[in-house]
Amino acid sequence: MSDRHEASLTVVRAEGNIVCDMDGEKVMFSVATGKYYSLGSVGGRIWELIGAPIRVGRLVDELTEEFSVERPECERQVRKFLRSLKRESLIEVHSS
Amino acid sequence: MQMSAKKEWQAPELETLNVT
Repeated sequence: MSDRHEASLTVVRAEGNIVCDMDGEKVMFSVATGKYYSLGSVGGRIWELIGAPIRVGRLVDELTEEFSVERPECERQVRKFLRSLKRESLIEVHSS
Repeated sequence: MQMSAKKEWQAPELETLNVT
């Protein structure tokens, strides 16, 4: 999948997850998989930002404005993180 | 206008946890 295509995809949280904050990091229970997950601090911020449908490119824009990170690195790591969320059915991905 | 400092970036990672 090309970077440009992936950046144009829209992501949003899947339903059925219970999330709480623990020491500044988000911990989540998925009713669907019966598993507990830790999202960490940056992952928790991403989780907040995908509460409503958002394009991956826009998500990276928000994060590079908020965090001290170069865009290419941010984009690469965010895409990897989103793929791991998708593998666990924690997010929905739609073509814009 | 003063720019607010950006927060430290850490690569986001999904970690699976095991469970009186």
